[in-house]
Amino acid sequence: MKVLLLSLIFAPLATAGMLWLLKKTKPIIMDSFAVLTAAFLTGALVFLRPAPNVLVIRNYLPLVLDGLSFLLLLIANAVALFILIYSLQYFKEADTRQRFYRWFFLMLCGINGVVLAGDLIFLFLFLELAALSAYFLVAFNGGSKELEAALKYFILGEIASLFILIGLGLIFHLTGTLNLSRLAQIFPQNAYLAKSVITVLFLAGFGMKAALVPFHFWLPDAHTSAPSPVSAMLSGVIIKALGVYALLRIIYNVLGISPQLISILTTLGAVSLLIGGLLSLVQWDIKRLMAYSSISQIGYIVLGIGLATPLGVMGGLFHLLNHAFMKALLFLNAGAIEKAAGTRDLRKLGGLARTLPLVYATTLIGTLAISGIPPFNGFWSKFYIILGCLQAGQVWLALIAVLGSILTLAAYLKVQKHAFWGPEQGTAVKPVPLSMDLSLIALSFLCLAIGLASALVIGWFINPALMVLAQGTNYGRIVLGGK
Amino acid sequence: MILSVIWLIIMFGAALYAIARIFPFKDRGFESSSKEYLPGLVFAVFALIVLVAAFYLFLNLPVIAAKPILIGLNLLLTVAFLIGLYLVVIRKSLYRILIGLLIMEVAVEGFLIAAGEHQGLTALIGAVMLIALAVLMGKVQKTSQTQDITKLEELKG
Repeated sequence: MKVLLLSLIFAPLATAGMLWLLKKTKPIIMDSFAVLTAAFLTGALVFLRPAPNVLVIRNYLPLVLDGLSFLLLLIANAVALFILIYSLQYFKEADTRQRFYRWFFLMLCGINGVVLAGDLIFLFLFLELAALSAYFLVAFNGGSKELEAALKYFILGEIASLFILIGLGLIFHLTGTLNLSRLAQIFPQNAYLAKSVITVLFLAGFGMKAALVPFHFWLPDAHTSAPSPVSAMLSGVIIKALGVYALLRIIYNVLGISPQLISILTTLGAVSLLIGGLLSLVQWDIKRLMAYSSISQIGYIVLGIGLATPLGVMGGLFHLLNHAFMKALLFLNAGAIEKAAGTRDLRKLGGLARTLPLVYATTLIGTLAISGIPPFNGFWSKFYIILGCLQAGQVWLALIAVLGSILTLAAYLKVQKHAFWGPEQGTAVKPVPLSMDLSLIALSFLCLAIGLASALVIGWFINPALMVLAQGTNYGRIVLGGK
Repeated sequence: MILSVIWLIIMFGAALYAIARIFPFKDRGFESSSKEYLPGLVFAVFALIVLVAAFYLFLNLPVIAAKPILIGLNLLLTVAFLIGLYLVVIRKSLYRILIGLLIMEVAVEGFLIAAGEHQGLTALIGAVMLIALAVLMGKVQKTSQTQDITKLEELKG
């Protein structure tokens, strides 16, 4: 089991290294190697399902696998598998694909490492590894817009990392350790001044990584400029793993949730929800519209989790899972549209429902899912978040959450109207390659299946993660006593 | 602690050397300057608030307050951090932003060493990230033919 756990970090790292060494290998070998590695990583999770036990490695590289980290691992590796299959025919040139795979697997190694790290230093190491890969993937196509977006992302990411490092320094000044489970046991809960300063620093640092308003302004440029598989990974996984997960782990399991933090998180969540939703309405670039929608959906997640009620946290965690698949589906659809029609400007598109029926169907499924229409997965997670707001007595927040859904539906109906309905615009439309279609079908199926089997999904994946957050700072006692 | 300081000097010395190789002397943006006073004024007020807050925090954190030398050292590091932040926020040249980030990184690493953190891993990470940023900035400068970030306005955020 511990070998499988270590393989989640070292397998993608080794794959990136092998792909760099085997530069002249045949494309089919390279592609098979990449997809099989991703399949292995996703398959390994079947054997690693930890609930109710916690799997711990303590020597040299402290790793902890519990319900919360398992949920994020599932999201990251499953989405990565679909993206890799999609990219088999998205990137035509073998050299381009190889360059993409190398950075992609480095990023995946970093994401798995962040989620499994049992020590803040190693969390920071893997966070920077994933972030570095993300910066260079945003700049992948090498044009001036891509480089400018990557530069903005890099500079703001570095400033965020510095805030996080200052927070680590303060924690080390206070406690003399950066091990998460030790911190959960010994962090002085009555050191209000230090706790407040550390919380503000981590909110700024991880909030910027998660693109929470007011730290969101790098996201639209970065997600728009990156190739579509990268945008899917950034919106679907990176902002959750590097931002939301790290914030949750530290706030719930180390510092401990408090009424002040609940107010801050719910306010930030509600503001992100509204601002992202409103700004997405005025966009004409499909990917920019989806990027602003990501800011809005992150707002939902933070709102749900910030409520600190059972239904709210369950809804937030469920939306974390659902949004990964929904947003990956939508960004990959945007890539398919751009590939087929040569543009992603909604004013230059039209009638694609007739020429690209599969893309139309999968985009429609993504639209309904993310807007919270039953029986798709997005309905259930948003429903639980709204119920959570009512459970906490926050009627205004519930109304804001409902308004957010309406704004999301309006934005994506705009995409449907301009891209798929109405007269064709006259530009020749190329067919979408098979591997891209396969990923779209698989993700659409998941959005429907999770919606229909929501009780099962919640029981298997969401409740174990919810238990981890519910145990609060008892995390330390459980990990140090775990196997 | 001495070993940590030596490691810090080596790491960021290497980063500075790499940056100097990527940015030739004539391309370091010395000719650009800010003629707007309001951002500088806002920054000065912000810096004053941060310094007062840092002083108050260091006086009230028992671990730091127990050793007066740590208060002075950490305040010095806070000043260095603010100088670096000034270069990043106010100066418009890519090179100065990079140097500003380097100063901020060194200040934060110094804060970690003052806390007793001797692993040195964060210093290595910081140096690598700065070199990577310098590589990216070099590419941006080559493509856009400018160091002035106000001219990089294709994307509106």
